[in-house]
Amino acid sequence: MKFRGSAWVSVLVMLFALGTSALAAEKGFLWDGTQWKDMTMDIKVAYVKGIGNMADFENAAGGAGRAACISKGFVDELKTKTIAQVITEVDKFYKENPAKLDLPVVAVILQRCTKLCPPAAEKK
Amino acid sequence: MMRAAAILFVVGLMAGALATAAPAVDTNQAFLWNGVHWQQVTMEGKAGYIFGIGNLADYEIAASKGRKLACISGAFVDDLKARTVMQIIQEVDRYYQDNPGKLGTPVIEVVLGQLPKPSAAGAQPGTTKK
Repeated sequence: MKFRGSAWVSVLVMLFALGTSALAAEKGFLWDGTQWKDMTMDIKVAYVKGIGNMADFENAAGGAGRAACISKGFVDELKTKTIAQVITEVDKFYKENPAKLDLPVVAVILQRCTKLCPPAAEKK
Repeated sequence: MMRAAAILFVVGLMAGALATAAPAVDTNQAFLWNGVHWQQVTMEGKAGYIFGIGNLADYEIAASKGRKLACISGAFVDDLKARTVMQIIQEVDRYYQDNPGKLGTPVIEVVLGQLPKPSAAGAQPGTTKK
């Protein structure tokens, strides 16, 4: 199990090392349920931490009333949930919705926020 | 060059603000990762962290298109046009290796701040949120 998760990340890292293209420009590199289900708990925690730390920075940068909506949504989300709870909910979502494995993990986490800004936030 | 300095300055301000503002993460264990945490995680964990940052930035940019709300995300997305995930990991590794006294500097500050200029960023080791 650990190998599978590690293998996924290794492949992704190699792709980026070789590809040198922007993460933002490569929509395919938004992690979704396909990658998520094979990740170890450690990698899931690191991934959610990365999202959370970025959201904090972005939220603080926006200031009162100007925060970027996704980041604000995530920070708000974490007011009521722990990292472990977030991971459990994402696990549960993909388990109960096997047909939605292509939905980005970020979208699953931010269901509330994506209701605030749905059009652009959806995966292309 | 000016743009890099501006980004560095903003990142420094954010680190300072987060150190004092006590945002949501305080009570939810989503504290900012620093050099101590970074040195304890595996390569896969490091990649997961960077991907988390990148995926949120990507999503944020898509969501706030045209409104210029996501300045940090925009900077990171631009940064990734020039650096790979592996390069970022190596640079962060090198930063903490070369600056053992700055393990308190948040990883995200190192990632976004293009490395060794913490003084210009205004964030001092130990003043950032643990």
